[in-house]
Amino acid sequence: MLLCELKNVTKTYSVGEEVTPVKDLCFKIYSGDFVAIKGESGIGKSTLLFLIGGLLKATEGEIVYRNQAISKLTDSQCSLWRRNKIGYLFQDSQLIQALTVKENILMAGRFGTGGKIKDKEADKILEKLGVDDKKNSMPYQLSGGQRRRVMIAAVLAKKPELILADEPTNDLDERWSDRIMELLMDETKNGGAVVLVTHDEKSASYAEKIYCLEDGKLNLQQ
Amino acid sequence: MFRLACYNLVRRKTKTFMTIFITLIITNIFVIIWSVYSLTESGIRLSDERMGADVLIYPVTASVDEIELMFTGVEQMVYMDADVIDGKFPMEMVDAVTSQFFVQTKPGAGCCTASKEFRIVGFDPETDFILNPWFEEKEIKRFEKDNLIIGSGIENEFGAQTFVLNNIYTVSGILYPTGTGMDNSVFMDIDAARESGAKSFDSRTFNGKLPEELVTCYLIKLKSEADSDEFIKKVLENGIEANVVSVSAAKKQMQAQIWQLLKILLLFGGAVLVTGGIALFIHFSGFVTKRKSEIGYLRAIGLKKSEIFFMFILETGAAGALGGVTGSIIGVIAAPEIMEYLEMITVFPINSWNQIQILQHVAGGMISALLVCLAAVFIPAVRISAMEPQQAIVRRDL
Repeated sequence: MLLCELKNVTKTYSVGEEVTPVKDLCFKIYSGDFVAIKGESGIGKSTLLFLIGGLLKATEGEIVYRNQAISKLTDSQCSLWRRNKIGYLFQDSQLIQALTVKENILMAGRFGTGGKIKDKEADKILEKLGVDDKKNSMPYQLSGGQRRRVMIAAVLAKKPELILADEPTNDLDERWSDRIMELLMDETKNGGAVVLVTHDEKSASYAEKIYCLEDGKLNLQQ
Repeated sequence: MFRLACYNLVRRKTKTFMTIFITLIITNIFVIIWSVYSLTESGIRLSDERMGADVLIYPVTASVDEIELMFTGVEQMVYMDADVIDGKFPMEMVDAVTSQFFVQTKPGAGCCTASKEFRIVGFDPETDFILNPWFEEKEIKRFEKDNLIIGSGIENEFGAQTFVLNNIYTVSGILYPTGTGMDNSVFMDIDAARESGAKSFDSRTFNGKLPEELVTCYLIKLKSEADSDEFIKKVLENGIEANVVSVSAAKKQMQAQIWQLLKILLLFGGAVLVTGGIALFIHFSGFVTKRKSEIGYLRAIGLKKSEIFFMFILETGAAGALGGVTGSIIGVIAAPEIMEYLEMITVFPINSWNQIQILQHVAGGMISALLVCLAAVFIPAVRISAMEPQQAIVRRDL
């Protein structure tokens, strides 16, 4: 089933000079897709993820999610859509500093298709990511890798339809990188979709389709 | 959002403490100034209502002026001959005349006595019109020579029975607040005051004369159509050997001086509010900016702009309310102490607190604190909640 479609999407920034990281781009994401996007540093991969997730508005073109034009939604409607459908893994680990690890998971779980998650479920997710012993710690007490795993746990708790992951294996060793990729693949088997931005060849190899972003367009490599 | 706001308040201790502290200081100063203004303004109003007399006549040898004589309880054992007014008044202008004789308490003379010197006002129950309204209110028909009335400002100094100038007196009651020197005075029968004075003080105090021949002041109430300035002019033309002053003119002079001081205090209070508001604005701006990437994350997981804004308002409102109520309570406690100090350096008619006024000032202080906090956080909260999530995440530095 077609989840999300980008139709002739262009994004232009003005940062002293005009920059167009995404130019007349067409792209489709289906349920069960595991897509990797590669490209040079600064080419616009994160911008593309922000566009798909409604965190940025396209300059031209349309982004449609399940037949709904995201670009035409108000900010409030877009926030609700993101709340229910999208899971974000940012390049820098983002957590709510005033909440413990477990509270972060429970908070993220409130926003999602599944509704409020139970304590035991949160504990299970933390166990999967190997941070259950840190459940009562504050984010600033964690290492970079632990924060990364907690963030992934928060996204999984939300049970989103579409996961947008920007360098999800940053700060992780090989063992955990593989584990994270396996977990993301599991999500696609449950009907979700994953769009992954990465420099890591090994992580990209888990994807069914690998694209390269060049000159504002996506070129299928595999 | 409510839960997240609570966690932010409780767990970001330093930031919360700073907000509460700044708000406490601002509110404390503001409430003190407002209280001083309120107490003074109601004191002035009270003195207008309860002073009673139109003209005051007092000895030329008095070391204080009419303002201090009327509005403070400063001890003044000065005297003039009781017949100093004989033939000097245009009686067709006069409604009532009463005399008063001042002595003072002697502290530490035995038990159950005053701890310091207070003015004792001997008044004539037959001719008095100053205390009469209070007697009528209390339905006291007779005032005995061994009775005392205590001013509202010094009620704690005396018990039901008290020892004053070698005699035991029964306290008939506490005078209502008047905003004048009466609040810090003790009242007894004029003859009792003269007798006690004669026994307790050296004859030189009374210029070698008998106290029965002396008075400290005369209070004159004019007829409604009489003009006090014209009356005073006629009395002075008749060559009286005493100071003759218009009570209303003295009040106006005193009020003018006080309003100047109050204006300065109010300006200072306003400056404190503005400066405090700016300090809070800078504090909140920095605080909000540091949470930019977190706000971006919250927006990315689906929080609306209004929810982010509401979260900041809630956090700020709670800390502001706590700082405000604490500062207000300290302010209403400190205000009477400050008024006491002000009374020492200048003439200040003050009224006493009642519970409703205290609650009003605490509530007013808290509301002001809330308004200042909310005004200070409004722009930073609007800016951060309006920021596009991608901007907030990417631009995490200041």
